[in-house]
Amino acid sequence: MNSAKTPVLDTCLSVSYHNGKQVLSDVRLSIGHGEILGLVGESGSGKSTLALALFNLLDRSRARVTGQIQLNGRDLLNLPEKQMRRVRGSEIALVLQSAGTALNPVLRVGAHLKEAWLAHSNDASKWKQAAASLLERVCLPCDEEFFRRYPSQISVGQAQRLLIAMALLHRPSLLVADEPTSALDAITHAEILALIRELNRDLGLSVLLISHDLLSAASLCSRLAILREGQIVESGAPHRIFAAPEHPYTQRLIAALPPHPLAATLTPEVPIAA
Amino acid sequence: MNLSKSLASLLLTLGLCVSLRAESVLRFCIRSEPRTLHPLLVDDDASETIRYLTGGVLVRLNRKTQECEPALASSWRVAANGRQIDFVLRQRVRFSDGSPFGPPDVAYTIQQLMSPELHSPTADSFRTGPGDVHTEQTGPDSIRVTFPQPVAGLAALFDQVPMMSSRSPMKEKAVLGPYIIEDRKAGSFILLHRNPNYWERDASGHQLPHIDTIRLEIQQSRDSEALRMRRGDIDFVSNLDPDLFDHLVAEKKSDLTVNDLGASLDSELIWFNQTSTSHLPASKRAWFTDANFRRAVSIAIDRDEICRIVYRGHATPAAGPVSPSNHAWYNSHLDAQKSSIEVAKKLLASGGFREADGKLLDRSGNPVEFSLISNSGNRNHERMLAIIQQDLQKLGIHLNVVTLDFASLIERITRTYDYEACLMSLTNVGIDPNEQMNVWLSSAGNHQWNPNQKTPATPWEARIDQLMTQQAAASNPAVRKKLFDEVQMIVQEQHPFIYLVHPDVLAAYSKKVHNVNPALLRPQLYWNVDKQEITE
Amino acid sequence: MTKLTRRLAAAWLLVALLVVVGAGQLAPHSYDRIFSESPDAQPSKDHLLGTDAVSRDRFSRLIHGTRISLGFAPLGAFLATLVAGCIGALSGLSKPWVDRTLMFSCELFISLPWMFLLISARSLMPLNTTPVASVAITFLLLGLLGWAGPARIVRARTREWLNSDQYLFARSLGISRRRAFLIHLPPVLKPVLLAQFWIAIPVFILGEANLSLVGLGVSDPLPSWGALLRDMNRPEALLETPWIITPLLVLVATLIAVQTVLRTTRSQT
Repeated sequence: MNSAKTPVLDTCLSVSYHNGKQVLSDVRLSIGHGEILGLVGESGSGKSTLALALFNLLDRSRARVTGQIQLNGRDLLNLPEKQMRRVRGSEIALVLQSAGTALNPVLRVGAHLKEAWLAHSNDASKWKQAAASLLERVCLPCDEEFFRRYPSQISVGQAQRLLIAMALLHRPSLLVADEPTSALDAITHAEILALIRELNRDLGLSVLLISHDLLSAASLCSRLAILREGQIVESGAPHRIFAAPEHPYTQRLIAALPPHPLAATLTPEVPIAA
Repeated sequence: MNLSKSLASLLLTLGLCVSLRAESVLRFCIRSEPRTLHPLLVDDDASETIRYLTGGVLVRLNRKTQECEPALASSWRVAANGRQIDFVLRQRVRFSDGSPFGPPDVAYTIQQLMSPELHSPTADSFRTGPGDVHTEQTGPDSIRVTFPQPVAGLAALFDQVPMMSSRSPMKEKAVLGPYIIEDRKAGSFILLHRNPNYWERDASGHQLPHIDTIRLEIQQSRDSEALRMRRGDIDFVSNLDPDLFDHLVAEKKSDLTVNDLGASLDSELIWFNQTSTSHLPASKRAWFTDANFRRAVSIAIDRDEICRIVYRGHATPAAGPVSPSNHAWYNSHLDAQKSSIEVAKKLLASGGFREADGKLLDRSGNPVEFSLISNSGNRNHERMLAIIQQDLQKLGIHLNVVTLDFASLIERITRTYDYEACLMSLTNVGIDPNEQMNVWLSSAGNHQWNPNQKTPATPWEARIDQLMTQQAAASNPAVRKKLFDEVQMIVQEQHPFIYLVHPDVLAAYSKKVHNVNPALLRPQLYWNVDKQEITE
Repeated sequence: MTKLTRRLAAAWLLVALLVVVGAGQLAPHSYDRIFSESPDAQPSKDHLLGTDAVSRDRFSRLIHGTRISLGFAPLGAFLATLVAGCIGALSGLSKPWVDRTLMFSCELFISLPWMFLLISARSLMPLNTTPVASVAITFLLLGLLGWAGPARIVRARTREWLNSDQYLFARSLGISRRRAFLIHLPPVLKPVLLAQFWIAIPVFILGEANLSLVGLGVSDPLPSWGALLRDMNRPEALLETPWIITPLLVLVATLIAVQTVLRTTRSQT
């Protein structure tokens, strides 16, 4: 569809609230095809505002968004809501931190998938067919028994996988994962990260991983951007950033990392993700 | 002087006073905040209490003997057929602030009372005809008051007129009664202290009143008042609800005297709306203006049942406007209606009413149904309504009872006339029929069934007007009695008011108060407060 | 919660329902019959709960009062909740100026001098309203008046939901606003509305009793729980005649039973 040269996402974004507070200033992000970009910042740095802004879901009566959001060469920022709705879920999709709050507790698993399907399709009968391969890929059962369950009746890991499956149902080119693992236990956390990497590799999915966790982001991403107080202070390959952080904030972030239990056996030049 | 030093000396003085003699305090409840402290503007019970305790009057009506007694006037004489009264005033009497009392003060008070700008409700009973009231000082201690028309029962009317000072800078706050207002807290209490200049002394020459302080607690709820009485927080309750009264009697508390004083002067009554300006349907107006209909309703109501069930026996069936306790004016030839459904049905049949399927229909076939309003929050009224409802059901009349808040009720019966029938209490303060002038005259505002008429709507109302005016102008008590007896006869024939019962005065008072002499007239328990004493 | 409690609660409600439907058949006497020989009588075989001050059978009046209160209060509560749900949700979902207007009218509504308005309402009603019509009008009024408080709660919940992950996630999938409201908002508001509904019922039952002060509410001789509760205004009388507390116990028991059954059905889903 697009030439390999055109980045999937290319932004230059500023957001200010009407009370005068500048939340994001001139945030430039560029994500190529099949690339995973990690956006790292602590809470309050404007990460979640960025996610909302990408989907045009910020409350326009309270926030002013300027700049541009190019998705596959199309500017989303000034897209009318009707067209923007068609973009959401089909070209760009979102995975949130907690499946528990994102899913509707009185809606069954099957109903969730069906709703997601119907957002961009008029053919209600095809949702199972469409979901089947995806469910298999995210290692979820694809049977009536599972569809009949309520969100409270599946495990946290399964719920997070279900979110991913719903997000990817219409094969978007970009997945925005906003802290997708921070509510999970260590093992599930690793499984979900592995799943995202697999999806990236197998489907050529571009991913914007938003996280406060520098280490996990570094383990997954080909490039990192460090966000602080609404500004990107540094970006580059994890390797480079870990080896020679330029900005004092990045330096402090790295210094604050817990020592790896096996750190003594590792050479400092070789970071965790090679 | 340094503040702490002066405070210490003050405390010391106070301490000394307390140790010398404990203040005697009499406590009882008033139902609401007094609306006015001006003695000539009193129109509610709480204000009347303050007026009685603080005001000094020329003539006092003995509540027990129902006779007039000298007070600030040591003697008086009514002359010129009740148009003129001469007072001889007591000497060396001073107001609470020390200013002297004399004929100019009486003249000033009368002038204030009759002044049209003041709109004094007390003045109404003095206004028997057009013209001005004159006062004339006839000696150093005597004064003559002349009215344009004769005023019947003139001396007793002065019981309601506290004298005011023409000279005192404190105006109406300078008083001649046994007590003065010392302190008050809105919504909570009023504290009265003995008037150091009160004129009266007891037989041994000791200055009255004996009791130092009266504390009036403002208490709306009768239940709470009764509870306070049982706890010994207050000394007097003069109008107990029948069931509370029975409870107190049953408890047999050793420190309380609980007394049923017999039928009060008040009555409970019903009337139908007969006003010509109301928007009643023609059929209903026809029933309400039909004396047979009113009489039938009256006869159907079982007054004995009301006395027994609602008042637990503490009430007397009423025959007319005058309670049997009013010895001077009660017409003993009248008998309270004995309830009889048969007689009532006959009366209705003679008026063209008939019964079909247990429903009463009028001549044109309209089912007889009407509403009866009363004030909410009055248990006795609510219970009476239930009984009346059942009694009228026996005639096939469907009665809708509606209890309204007091303000709405008054609005309906005095202004909009948007009602059909009303159940109310009529309170009588005095015994003289003159005080009911504003009820019986067809031109009067309290002529509830059809007030403020330009000319009497019916011959019998014209006759009542005539009789009432005649008795007001007559000075011979026997003649007046005869005239007023006829008024009572007409009322029983015509039933503009359907009198139900005279509730008893149910009083309780603490045994530590001495010289309580309960009377049927208000204020039942403290009318002789200046002679009462308290022992702990 | 044991099975027994649940069964008891269900049985209680069944009985209450039976009473609402068949009060006339169940009551041993008529609610307005005056047994003139025995006012304030003690409980006996003839009068299970004795007689009241006007000598009417307390038990029969309780049965008929149950029918009136349980029959009408839920209708009023439903009306109030329905209006609160619509206005609250609309306010929460609308543009700021609509929201402000609706919330302002809410505040205004709450701060209006209600007693005065009710008195006016009474003065507009004909005096010859049958007792049943008067009850119906009363609960209708309560229903129409009781929405403002709950509406604010509904609006707050709606706002909260608009900022929730659930709404955000649904929108990020490309689900339209309208569709998101339709499928996600009702279950979110349901517990709030249910709570308001159950709170409103006892409030309305008691409110009806107070309205009789201005001539609204159930008028004599028709009994209601509110009117029966007013009979117990003397605390010390409760010690001497403890059986007159029965209407209060019945009211409390019914509310507990409803809650119990409700919790059971909820935990089973």
